[in-house]
Amino acid sequence: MVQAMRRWSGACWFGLVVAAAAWSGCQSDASAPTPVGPSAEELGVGEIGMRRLTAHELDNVLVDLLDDDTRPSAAVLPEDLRTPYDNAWVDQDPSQILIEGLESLARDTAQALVADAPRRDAVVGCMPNDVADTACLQTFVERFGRVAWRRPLTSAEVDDLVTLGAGMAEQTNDFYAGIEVVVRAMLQSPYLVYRLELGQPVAGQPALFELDGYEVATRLAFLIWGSTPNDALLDMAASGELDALAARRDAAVTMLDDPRARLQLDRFHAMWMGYETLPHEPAITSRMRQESAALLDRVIFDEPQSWLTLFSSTESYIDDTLAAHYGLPAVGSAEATWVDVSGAGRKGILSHGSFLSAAANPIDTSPTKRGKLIRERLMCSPVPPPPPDVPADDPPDQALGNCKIDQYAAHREDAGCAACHKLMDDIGFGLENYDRAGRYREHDDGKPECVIAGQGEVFGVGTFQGPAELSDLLLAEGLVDACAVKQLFQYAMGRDLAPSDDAYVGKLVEQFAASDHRFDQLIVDLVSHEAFGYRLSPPVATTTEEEGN
Amino acid sequence: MPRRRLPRRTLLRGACGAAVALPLLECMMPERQAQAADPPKRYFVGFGGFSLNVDQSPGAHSLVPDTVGANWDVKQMLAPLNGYADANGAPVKERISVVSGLDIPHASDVNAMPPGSRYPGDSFHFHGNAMLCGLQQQGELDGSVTGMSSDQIVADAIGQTNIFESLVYRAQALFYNTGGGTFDKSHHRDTLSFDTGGQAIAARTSPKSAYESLFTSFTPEDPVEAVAKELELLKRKSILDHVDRSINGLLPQLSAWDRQRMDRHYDEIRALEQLLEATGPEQNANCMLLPHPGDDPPLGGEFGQPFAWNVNDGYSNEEARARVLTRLMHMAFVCDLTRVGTFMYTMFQSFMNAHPLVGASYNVHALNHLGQQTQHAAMIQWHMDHFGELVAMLRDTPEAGGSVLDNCAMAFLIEGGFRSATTTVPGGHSHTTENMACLVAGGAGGLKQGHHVVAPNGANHPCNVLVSLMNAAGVDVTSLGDVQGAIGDLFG
Repeated sequence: MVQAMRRWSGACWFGLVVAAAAWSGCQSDASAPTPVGPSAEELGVGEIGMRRLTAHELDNVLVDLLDDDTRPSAAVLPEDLRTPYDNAWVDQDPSQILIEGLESLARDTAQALVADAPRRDAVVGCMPNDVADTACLQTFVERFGRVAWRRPLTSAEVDDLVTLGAGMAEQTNDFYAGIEVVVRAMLQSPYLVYRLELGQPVAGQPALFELDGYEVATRLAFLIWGSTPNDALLDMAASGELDALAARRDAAVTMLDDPRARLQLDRFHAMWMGYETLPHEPAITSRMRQESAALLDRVIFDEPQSWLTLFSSTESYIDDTLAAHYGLPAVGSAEATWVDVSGAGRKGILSHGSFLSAAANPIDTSPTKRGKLIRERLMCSPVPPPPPDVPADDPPDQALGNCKIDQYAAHREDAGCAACHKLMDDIGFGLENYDRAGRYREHDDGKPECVIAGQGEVFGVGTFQGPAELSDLLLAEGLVDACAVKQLFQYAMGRDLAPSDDAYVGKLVEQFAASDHRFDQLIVDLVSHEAFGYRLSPPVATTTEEEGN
Repeated sequence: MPRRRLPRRTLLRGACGAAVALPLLECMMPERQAQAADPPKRYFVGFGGFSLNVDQSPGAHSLVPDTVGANWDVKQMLAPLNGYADANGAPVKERISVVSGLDIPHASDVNAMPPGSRYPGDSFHFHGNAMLCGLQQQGELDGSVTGMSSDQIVADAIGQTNIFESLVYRAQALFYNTGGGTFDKSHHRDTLSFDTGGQAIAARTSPKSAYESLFTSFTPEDPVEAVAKELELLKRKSILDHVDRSINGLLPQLSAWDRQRMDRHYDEIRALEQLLEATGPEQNANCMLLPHPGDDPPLGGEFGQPFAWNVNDGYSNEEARARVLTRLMHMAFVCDLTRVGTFMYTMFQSFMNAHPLVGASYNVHALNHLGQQTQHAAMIQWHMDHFGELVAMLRDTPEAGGSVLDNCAMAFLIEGGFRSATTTVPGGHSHTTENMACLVAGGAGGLKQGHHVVAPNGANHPCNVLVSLMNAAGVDVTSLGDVQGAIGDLFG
């Protein structure tokens, strides 16, 4: 009803208010209608529930708050599922494991802090005159509290924490026992653990809230840095500066200059494209990750250019070890350096060991899974699930032939299978010359008689051979840029896309094209869209939030 | 997870009913005062994420014994049960029964699904609702659980007065399939325990956390350590008081969805506060504070050898984790800290790396589909070794003239069975819930020990085994979910 009202205007608007008041039995004076703010639909705002920091984010926060780089969270907190992103709020159910994990995490990190005098003194920021130096304690609570809880503490909260700390200091005759309990309390507080977006209710729009400056700063920081906002950003929130879209834009540009932005975008791409963990020895895994990270850094940060260069770059950042692993000529350097790899049929990230290692079977590539990964993650084109009685786990049928392509024949020749497998296998077979560790091969593993043709097809789009031609095809047909926007949006919101996102995402797709596909610009456009500063609270599930999953 | 006496929700619901005004509520009394005579009964469900995968018909099988009844013959997959002998040299198999001939019906028609059945199609790996709760699977690749698992029903019946209503452990530290795999989500496939409405109870995987939680109520013998622990308890309580105040101030400000989630967060904090108030059991020759297990093995693990499958890919020293968690589960039962435990050794469709354990270059799931029989059997033996050790430890702990095991009702469930049809059937031999088997141990309620029982037609769902064990644990039920009946042959 309320949304319908907003879409009307002029005389009709007044009439509807009267009608609504009468309908709801409201006895108030209809001649003085309360103002009604813009609707979620008009703003392009979708649902977001209260988000908990992921284990990865909590580790980043510990680095920023306490200079603690031990990254202890994953060991004691419930595992963050991958959807493929690790921040889906609908899955973040509280549990006993979470509560006790947070408690022990806070204990261990706070105790390590107070036991490390130089680090402790830097974090505390003042030297106590005596055990009962509540002035120093209070200064610490106010300053540290603001960065820990991403907003200034109320005087009641400061008093509460100072009382907690001073009591423990007195009882133990140790000022730093007081610091320890205060840090522990702040670390396991819901104000740190959850990204609370209370905001201000938008008049006449149930469940719609406009975020305050601190909440916007928090959204910016967790999106761009994967961590907590710093003092500068909180100052901008305090001054009201972040209320202006132009200031958010400027803030994002500045934030992208921070090294944390590089790590964040590297990790985002790794979750997106499936190479966050790689099944190789550390020496190879680290070089593959470095190869992809270096290309992202170059394309997004160091020599800002079209993000599509991620797929079309003829140069790769490799050293002799990785070159030898790939079967490329030595680059003549133990340190990674940019070399032209296009002569070897490689181009862009689709030819990186990182990407080629994703979606593999245990001892060989899976053309099906590779094709599915490319179609679903890069083209945002979902493949229907297997029909009844077709398990995705079955190995190819060895009885159908000696060579792999023949073993997959059932996928092509059975009409029931072919319809979907054509969407996947035909892409995967175009990459078959690259094994599950990204090495070039002429034939099936251990079978010289099975020469790999490496012919692929993106059904309905065109044919290709190898990752370079596949990249050319995807770019020429414009198949990845809108999908990139959707993937970033999904990560930014911590949920799948909904129809209510169409306007917001659609505008970003246009802006991405207009900015020559600059990924840094895409992030800036995302955070300076008006809807970024709003939140629509999800409806309550009937019995438990579990059912919303 | 370990729900304790009087979580907040229970208080709000008024579980103590009209007696709320009474000064000392009977339901708040420590159980210890009321139980001097009979030792408590305990209920345990273990689980391994694998199929039997090879022919289990008589003469050819490698798990199901040929011999029915007592003195069953030990096949390859159960070899570890020939070990863990007692003081008289009797192996632990003499206290463990095998139940064969089990089957979870696989529906062919969505509109005609039998009770506790799998959904049509290749619904394998997602059948927890059928296996653990006796309810119908909700969709083909849908692991949703919609009801209570047997352990939580038992916990509600016999565990309310213990410090931990139940313990929910898992050895496999992570889902591990984080890349571009077919299934990214582990949702509802990572625990065995589900509360009302299918509310998942997250499994505890950190041995260090499990240890610290379990022994919270114990006072160290060393007086210096005891003082330190007392101070630490004081700190924890003061901090949680502060958190309470924050949440109480916050709740009214939250929108409905957020408030629901914060309420649950608060419930769990209140449960922790209850734990901090709990008085621990008296320590004696059997019930004792175990030494601290130290830091957890690193997640993902690095094992130093330059071979793709044994480094940094899906192994977090689950061997060491399972050893510690086994000792904690044992001590929890011995000290009557809990009467209900679940232990997921490996997850449904386990992507844990099998190489460090059995030398096969596969994860456990792929090993089922692609590995050699001897490697597959070795992986099952790994599970059996840990389950066998737990049974033996309970057997070797005296209680009331017998052993703790005499008062236990324990199951070890196996994800899949064996399909004897040819591999033209989807999923080959492994994606099936035909010809399943499970293990049963303990002597509670007159359970036979050390027998091979063939489940009778009409009572051959794994939930029929669970109903039997629930009865053995003193819980008077005739069904689990939609699956009716116990297996009389398990008693005698």
